[in-house]
Amino acid sequence: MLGHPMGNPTRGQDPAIQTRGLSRSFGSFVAVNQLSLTVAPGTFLGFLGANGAGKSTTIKMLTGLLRPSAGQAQVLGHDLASDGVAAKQQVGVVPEELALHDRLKGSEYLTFVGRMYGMQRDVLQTRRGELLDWMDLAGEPERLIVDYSHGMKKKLALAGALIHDPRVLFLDEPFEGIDVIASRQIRGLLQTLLGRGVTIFLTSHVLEVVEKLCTHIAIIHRGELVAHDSLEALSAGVLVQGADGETRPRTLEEIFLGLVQAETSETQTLSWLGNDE
Amino acid sequence: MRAAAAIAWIQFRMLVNSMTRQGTGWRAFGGILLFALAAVLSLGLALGLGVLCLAARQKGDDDLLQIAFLAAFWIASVFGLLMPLLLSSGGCGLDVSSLRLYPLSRAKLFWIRLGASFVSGDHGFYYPGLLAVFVLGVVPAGRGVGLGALFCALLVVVIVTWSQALANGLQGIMRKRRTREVMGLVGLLCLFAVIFAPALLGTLYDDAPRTEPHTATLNLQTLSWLTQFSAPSLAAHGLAAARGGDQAQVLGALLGMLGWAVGGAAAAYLVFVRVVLGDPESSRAGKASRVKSSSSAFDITRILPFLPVEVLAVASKELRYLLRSLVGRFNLIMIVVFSALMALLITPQIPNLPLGIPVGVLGLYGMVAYTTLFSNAFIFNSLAWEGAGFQVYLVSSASPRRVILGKNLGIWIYVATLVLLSLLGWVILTGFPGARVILNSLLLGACVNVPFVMVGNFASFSFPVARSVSSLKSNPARTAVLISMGTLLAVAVPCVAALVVPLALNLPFLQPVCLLVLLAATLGLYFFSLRFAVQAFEGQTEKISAALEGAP
Ligand SMILES: Nc1ncnc2c1ncn2[C@@H]1O[C@H](COP(=O)(O)OP(=O)(O)O)[C@@H](O)[C@H]1O
Ligand SMILES: [Mg+2]
Repeated sequence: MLGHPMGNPTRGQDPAIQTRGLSRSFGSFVAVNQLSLTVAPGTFLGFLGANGAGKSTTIKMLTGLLRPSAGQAQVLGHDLASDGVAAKQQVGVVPEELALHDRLKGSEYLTFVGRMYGMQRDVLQTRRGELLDWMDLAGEPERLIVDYSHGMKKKLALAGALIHDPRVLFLDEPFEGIDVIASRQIRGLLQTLLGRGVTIFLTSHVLEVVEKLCTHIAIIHRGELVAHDSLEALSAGVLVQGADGETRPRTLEEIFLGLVQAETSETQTLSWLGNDE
Repeated sequence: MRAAAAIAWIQFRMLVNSMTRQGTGWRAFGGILLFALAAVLSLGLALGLGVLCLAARQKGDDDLLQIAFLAAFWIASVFGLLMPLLLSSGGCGLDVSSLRLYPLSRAKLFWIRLGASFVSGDHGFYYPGLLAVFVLGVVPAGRGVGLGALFCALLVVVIVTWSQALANGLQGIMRKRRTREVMGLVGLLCLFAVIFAPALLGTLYDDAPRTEPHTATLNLQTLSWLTQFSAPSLAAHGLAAARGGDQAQVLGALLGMLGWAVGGAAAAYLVFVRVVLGDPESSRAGKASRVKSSSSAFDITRILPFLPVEVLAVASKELRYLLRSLVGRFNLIMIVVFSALMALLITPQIPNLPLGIPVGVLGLYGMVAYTTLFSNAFIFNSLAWEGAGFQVYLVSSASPRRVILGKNLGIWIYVATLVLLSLLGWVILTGFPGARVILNSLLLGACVNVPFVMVGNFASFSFPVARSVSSLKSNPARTAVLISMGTLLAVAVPCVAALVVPLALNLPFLQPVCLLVLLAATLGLYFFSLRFAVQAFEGQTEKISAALEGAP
């Protein structure tokens, strides 16, 4: 069903994702600045950044939703500007807004998406059944997507991104606003996909989840890439003293805060919340 | 009062912000032009009514004056009830349900909403006309001026309150996506059947030639007897009585108007509390919104297997949306009503025509052409319901050409359904008009619709506006509306020529041939235009995404 035989005879050497000088501005505001990033096949990359750092803008440029202002991007060796269709054929996306048509039923939506990727009827039918099973939807009288819970919508969007068996998967904040159960289910599926050699590019600002799942980390701050390495390499760099006096590798949160120089103002308070005098 | 002022200020700020944000180029131009058009229409109406009043006074013709009053009041009522449905689905741009967050009582919210509709464009449209008949028809007589003002004011109250009740009520029916909605529509159909059943039966058993005004007159008599109790007629009669000094009649009319006004306010309040303030989420849960599993119903891939699978994917998605949307369903019902009205009421009134055009056939052609226009909102703003789903087109490997073809195919199937329904209604009510006439009608429908869809593609990509599937408000961007009007004019000329020229030459069998040639030409133009439509699409994807993101 899902997943691939590892590797590909013709494109085996190509990085899964490669950008050079990728930039995007909105008016005079530069949202992503000169991003150069290479992701090897089979990597689970956590793309981290604060709100507004440029994560979604990057994903949108890599999936054809936004045109870059400058620079190039390749997915599986296909240049997105000149050879976008070949790239899109092998890419699955769950964009920030969840590209769902909410007046369709779940199975109708999956059929629609599958056909948009030109899938054969019989293949589509089996995969749709399995995906609906995975979503615990099979057999139930079906509802319109608009009536789904948020977690169900996320799962459906993920199902839609997987139905054509992509080799690269882009997920924008997949764990945002969903409950523990759905989150576990999605994590499980992602791990299976990773085992099958699918490259996953995931943005998040929830560091705990990323720390558990990802093999590699990239951090973007105000549109610029400030770090990109494997998780171990990043955390092994500096040791810190824990509360118990032992030295230990830094947590992802410490790395992140160190890199983005967050000007936290924990001490500042609001006037009417009172100095107890 | 502070809350009302704050809301008025917010409304004003939002208007100004939206104007300054999008205040460049075509959008603003279209907005201004359409506003100007509405203003011209509204003032033109006032002018016409004013002239009528002046003429009546000069001749001392009280009947004519009475006609002016009736016309003004009825036009105001019809527009006042319909415009909110068509333009803002009763919302007058103010979403009160979101104001529930604040400490405002239900009654206060109701008054704020009502106040907002009094000053909205939906109702402001007919104020100049009412003012004209009041100033030129009532004031100069010198008698009953106060009462006249009272009648006019009461009429406005009646219109605004009932239009609120109607628009919100309809929305409520439709928001319950399944049961209530169907019940409402069935109710409408029953009403329609009751009104027209005698006429229908009459035509079925009536052997008389169809050129005579027929059985529908019976229903018309009943209807016209009932209309004297309607608010506009009451107001007009009350005015006449006030001028004549007939106290008893004035009192009767006044009581009647008060009844309408109080009833309207009560209905508006009840509907407001239940629908607008009612829990909008309640419809999201439970059985009410379950949709029966009938996936294969619209599976056009089985009917048209030779088309690319992406085209079929988009087309069947499009059809599902049309048939699940409020406006899409509404049209299906309205088209039957409309064809019945045309067949029974309007066509018999058409006098014998030159060039030997059979009476009634003209009505049929007009109806078919108009049927295709029913879907204007979908054609000239075809991305209205995509929302974030629009991104599927961009991230998937389907080419824009196929996406556009799919969308157009979907709308064509829908329009063809409308045309066939209206033809069916026509044939049932008036009898079979002949094979050539039917063929002509079908060709005419295609000849009107292909160019519309062609132009609509460009309009949709250039001026996308997000709309909700479950709202009656479906109008395209103002500029797109203007473009559609221009297209209508451009399309009408060759179509009329293709129908009339063969008749003028006394070669009626050439009509279908001319229409076929016209259709071939428009189809050629359509496929030629696709390339540019693709360019327009690809050039605007970011703009479109941004515009659709605000989808409700
Ligand atoms: N369409 C747009 N127009 C203008 N500014 C935008 C647009 N999209 C994103 N931005 C800005 O670009 C920055 C990065 O946004 P985004 O990539 O969505 O951030 P995030 O990392 O939270 O996903 C933000 O400051 C945002 O305001
Ligand atoms: Mg984001």
